[in-house]
Amino acid sequence: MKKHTFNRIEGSGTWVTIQLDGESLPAVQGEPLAVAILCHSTDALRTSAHSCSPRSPYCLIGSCFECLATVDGRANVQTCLIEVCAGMRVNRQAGKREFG
Amino acid sequence: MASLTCPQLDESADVVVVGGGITGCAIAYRLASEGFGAVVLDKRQLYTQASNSNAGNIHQQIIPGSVFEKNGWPWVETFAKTISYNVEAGQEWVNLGEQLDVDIDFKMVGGIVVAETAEDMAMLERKISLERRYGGTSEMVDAAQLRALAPYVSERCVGGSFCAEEGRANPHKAVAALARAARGKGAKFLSGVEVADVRDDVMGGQVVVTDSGAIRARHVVFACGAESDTLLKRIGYQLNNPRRAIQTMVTEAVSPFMHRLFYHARRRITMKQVANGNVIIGGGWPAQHGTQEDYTRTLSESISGAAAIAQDVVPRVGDLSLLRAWASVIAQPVDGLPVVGRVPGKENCWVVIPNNNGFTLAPVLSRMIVEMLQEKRSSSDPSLFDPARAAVAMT
Repeated sequence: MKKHTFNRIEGSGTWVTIQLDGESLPAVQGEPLAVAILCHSTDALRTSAHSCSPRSPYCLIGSCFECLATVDGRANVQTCLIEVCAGMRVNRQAGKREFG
Repeated sequence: MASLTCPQLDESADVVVVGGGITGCAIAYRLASEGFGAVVLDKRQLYTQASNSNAGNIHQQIIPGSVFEKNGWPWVETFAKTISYNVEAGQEWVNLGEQLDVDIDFKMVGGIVVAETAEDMAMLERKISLERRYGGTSEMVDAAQLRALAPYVSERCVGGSFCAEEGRANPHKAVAALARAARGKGAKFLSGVEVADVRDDVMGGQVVVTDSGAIRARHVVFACGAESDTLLKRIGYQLNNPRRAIQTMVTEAVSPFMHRLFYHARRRITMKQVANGNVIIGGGWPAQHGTQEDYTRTLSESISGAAAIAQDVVPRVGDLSLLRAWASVIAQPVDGLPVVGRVPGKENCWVVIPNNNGFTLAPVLSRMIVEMLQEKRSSSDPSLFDPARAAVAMT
């Protein structure tokens, strides 16, 4: 596996596959979704609602709301607070969410 | 003199303003603009209480909903007299950002009141005719006009009213801009300084005794919102001025869909979408206020109560997540009128306590008090807000 700033401990658990903007990536079942995203890439996950500046997961404890993404069609999900499940469909967001 | 018992704050001023919220900052800005040396004291940090937690609405009309049900028409008829002051304030807000050279996100977006029943419509008609006596500009709208103004309202809304002269600003930017402008013109702001007493100075004027020393001033203006009772008690006046803890909440940001202030004729709800895309939901829902002065807590039944009405009248709000709710304590004069003027029997002590439109009225009430302490004739009639009606000297 390609090495990034964020690496999992060997033998973390069961590997599953999730989709990020249609791209398949490996993740460990039950880990915080934000962690799976950071391990894959530290590029910006979204652009902010007001100034459209680039943002990425930051606090990882549910406080900062920087890790928002669209998960299985639901916008503005705090990805640090939900666990990875096999087949999750994650989409990056740009600016404010729309009504579904 | 006080300096014998406490270290001297190395200050003297033409006017000491007690309270660094939006009212105090607006007063300091006016004073400094007219060449007066002003010192603002706040026992905490500047603008951290109601001025920091209000929604930033610039109201013209009487906010309907629970006000009528709770207080009845006689109260509303008195409260309506403040409309002309709101109208004046709206005109001042239009120019404030430019005057301060800061973008305070001001927008005259207009305010919509929705009605669900014929009784709601009749009540709005009565409210509007009362408001018109004092310069109000609301108009009734039918179901089609309502949908043109607010396509997002529930199918059950049969019409309502619209007031074009209502707006919103970012309260944080606005109060900070006023303080910065005041500072730029020479006003001083001291935070963490609590006023213990105000005494007549043998040399004339006043000595403001604080926990950090004393300051001499010609005039003292109390602009401490919900804490005015406590402060005025220290100089011998008991105010009949209850305070109330209310709460507000905010949703996640979403693409702009609600461009105006939103109210309901009968139900307890106010909503608006701010520049950032978040929807602020209020309406004066009660929060908990402990015996300790600074203690407030939001109530879950107020959160669910407001959320239920919000999504009932604007269904798509039900699709939004709530991010946060917060409480604040506001002053609420019994008759709904602000208190502005000389503290009875105290030549050089003044008080400004807004009603629940403190944010809206700050530009007007600050101008009134600065005119009064210069013995200038005010363009706005101050007699309505006479402190004597609310204050009782303690013996």
